[in-house]
Amino acid sequence: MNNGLKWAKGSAKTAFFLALKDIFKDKKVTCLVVLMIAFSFVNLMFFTSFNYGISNTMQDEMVNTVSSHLSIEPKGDDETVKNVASIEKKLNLISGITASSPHINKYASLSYKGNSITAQVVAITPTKEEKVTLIPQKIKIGEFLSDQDSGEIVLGKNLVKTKMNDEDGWGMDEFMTDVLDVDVGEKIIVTYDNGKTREYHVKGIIDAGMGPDFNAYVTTKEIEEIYGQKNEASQILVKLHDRDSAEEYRLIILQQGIRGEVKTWMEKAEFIEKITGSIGMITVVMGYIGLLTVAATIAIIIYINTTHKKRLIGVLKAIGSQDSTVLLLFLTEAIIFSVFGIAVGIVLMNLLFVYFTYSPMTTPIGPIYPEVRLSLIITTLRTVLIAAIFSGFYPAWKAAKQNIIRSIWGE
Amino acid sequence: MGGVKISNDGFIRTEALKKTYLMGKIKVAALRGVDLTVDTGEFVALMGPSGSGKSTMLNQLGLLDTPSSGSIFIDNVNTSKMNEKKRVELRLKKFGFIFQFFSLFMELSTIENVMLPMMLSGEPPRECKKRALELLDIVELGDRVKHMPSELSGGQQQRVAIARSLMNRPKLIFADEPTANLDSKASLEIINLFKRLNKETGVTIVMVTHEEELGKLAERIIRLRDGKLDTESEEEELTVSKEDVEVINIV
Repeated sequence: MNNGLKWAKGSAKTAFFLALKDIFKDKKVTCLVVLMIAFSFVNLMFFTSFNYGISNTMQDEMVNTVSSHLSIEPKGDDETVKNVASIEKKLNLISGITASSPHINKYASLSYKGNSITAQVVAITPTKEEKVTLIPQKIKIGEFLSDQDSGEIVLGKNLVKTKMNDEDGWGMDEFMTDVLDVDVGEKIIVTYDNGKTREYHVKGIIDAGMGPDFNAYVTTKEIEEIYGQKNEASQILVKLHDRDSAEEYRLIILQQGIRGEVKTWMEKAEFIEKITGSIGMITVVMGYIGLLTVAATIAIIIYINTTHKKRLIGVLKAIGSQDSTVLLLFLTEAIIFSVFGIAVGIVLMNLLFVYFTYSPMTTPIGPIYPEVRLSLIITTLRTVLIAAIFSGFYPAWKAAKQNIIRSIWGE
Repeated sequence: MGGVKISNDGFIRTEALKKTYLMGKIKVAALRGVDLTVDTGEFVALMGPSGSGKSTMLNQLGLLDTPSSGSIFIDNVNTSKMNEKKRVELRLKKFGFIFQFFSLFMELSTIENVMLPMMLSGEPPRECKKRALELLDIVELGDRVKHMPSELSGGQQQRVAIARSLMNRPKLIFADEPTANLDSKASLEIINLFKRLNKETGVTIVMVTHEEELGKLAERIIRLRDGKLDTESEEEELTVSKEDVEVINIV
C-alpha cells in the first residue's frame, strides 16, 4: 500500500478509535447527550408527521363527506347543472368511475319551539349517496333517510343541542348561539328560500366531522317537489376507483361534452394545504429551536472535551498526529453522538407511532394518526447530522490548530 | 542484544540555533545561537538552571517548534526546509517522546496507549498488539497490559510512555524531565531503563533533566546557561554507579 495512503488510513482509524473510547468513558454524559439529540430528532419528526396526519385526516374527511373525488359543478353563470340523468348515464359508462350522487343545495330557516336558525339543506338520493360518500354511515342518533322518505329530515350535529355533543366534548353547540334544542322523533318547521314551508320529522342526527355537521339533509324527491325543478343539481359528486387518478378522470369527463365545471378533490383541498402549511411553519420553528439546542449542546460537549484534553492533544500531535487527525477525532465524536441520538430517536418515534396507531388523537375533524414519510425521515436525519457536524467543527478545528508546545503545557 | 557503538556522525547537529519568544511586547531570547552535535547511539543529558533554555532546545530538536533562526540537521537533513507534513512524519516514524507529566490517555488501557503511534502509522492491529506486548515486557509491565493508567503508579505510567515512544522503532528519543514527578527510586528505574534501551537498541536519547545525579548517569552532559552552551563535559559511561545514585538520593 502507498505509504501516504497507509498513514492516512491509520490516522483515520486512530481518530475513530480514540473518539469511541472518549465517548464511552463517561456513560452518563453520553446518555444525556444522546437523549437530547434523540428528543430533538423526535421533535422535528413528530410534529411534522402529525401535521401530515392532520392534512391526511382533513383530506380523507373532505373526500368522504364533502367533495368525493370529483365534483361536476355549474359552469359560468349557470345556477345548476342541467340534464343530470343524462350526465349520470354517461358517467356510469366510464370504467373507473364507481358511482355518482347529485346534490341540490338550498338555504332554509329551521324552527323549533320559536327558535330559528339558518342552514343549508342538501337534497340527496340516499341509495346513491351511500355509494359516494360516508354521510349515511355517519348517523349517530336515529336513522338516515331512505329514497322514498317524505317529511323526514336528518340534521347535522352542529345544528342541534344534543346529549351526544355533551358526551364527546367536541360539539360546537357551546360556541353557536343558535342551535335547536330538538331531539330525534320531534318535529321542526323548515322555511325554504322560495318561501315554502314544510314540517319535518327529525329522523336522525349525523356526526360527520366537517361541513356536513352544519347541514340538514332531505331527499331529492322532497326538494324537487318544493322547488318544482327536475333533472337539475347544484353539484354531482363522482367517486373513482383510485383517488390519485382524479386529474385523469377530470379530463375524461370533460371529453364527454358535459356542460359543467369538473373539479378534483385536490383543488378543493387547497385550503387544507394552507391550514397545514401554517401549522407546518410553527412546527418548523419549534423543530429548529430544538435543533439549535442540540447544536449548542454538541458544540459545548466538544469544546469541553478539547479543553480537558488540551495536553493530550499536544502529546498526540507530538507523537505524530496530523492536525486533520485531531479534527477528525472530535468531528467523529460529534457524528457518533448524533448517530446514536438519531437511532434512539427512531426507536422513540416508533414507540410513539405504535401508541398513536392504537390511540389516535381525537379531533372534531376525526382521528389523527401521525404519518411518517420517507422524505421526512431523510430530511430530519440529514438536518440533525449536518447540525452536529457544523456545531462540532469549530471547537474541533480550534483543537486541531493548537500550538503543540502550548497544548503540552496546558495553556 | 549486545552493546551498540556510538559513531561520531553528528546525527543531530544545530548551527547558530536561536529562538526568541514574544511575551507581550517584550522579546525573550530562549536560545542565543547554539551549536551542538549529538552522535548516533548517544545518551545525552541536557542540563541547566531554570530558564536556561533546555526545554526550548529539546522542543527545537524534536521538531515540536520552529527556530527563529539557525538550522537543525537530523541525519544530515536540514529540517528547516521541511514542510509541516514531513516534520509530523519524522516525529511519528523516527522520534519518540516522553514528557514530564504522565502523558497517557486515561480512557485507554496500558496496551492501547502503547499501540497508538503504530496505529497512527497505519500498521495492522495484530502487528501493533504484538509489538506493544514485546515493549511492555521490556519495560517490565507485561502483567499490566489491560490495566488503566489510573491503576498504575507514576513510575509505571512513565514506563508505559517509554514503551509508547519505542513503538515505531525510533532512532531518537526525546525525554523532557521524565523523572520530575517521580520519587527517587522510580526515577532511578527510569534512567536505568533508558541506559538499557540505549545500550541494547542503540537508540539515541536526549534527555532534559535538572537533577544533577541523574544527569550524571547519561554518557554526556550538555549544559545550557542563558540560552547558550555552558560547558560541555564528556563523561565515561556509569562514572556514577547505581549504588552511588541511591546513596545521593538518600542523602
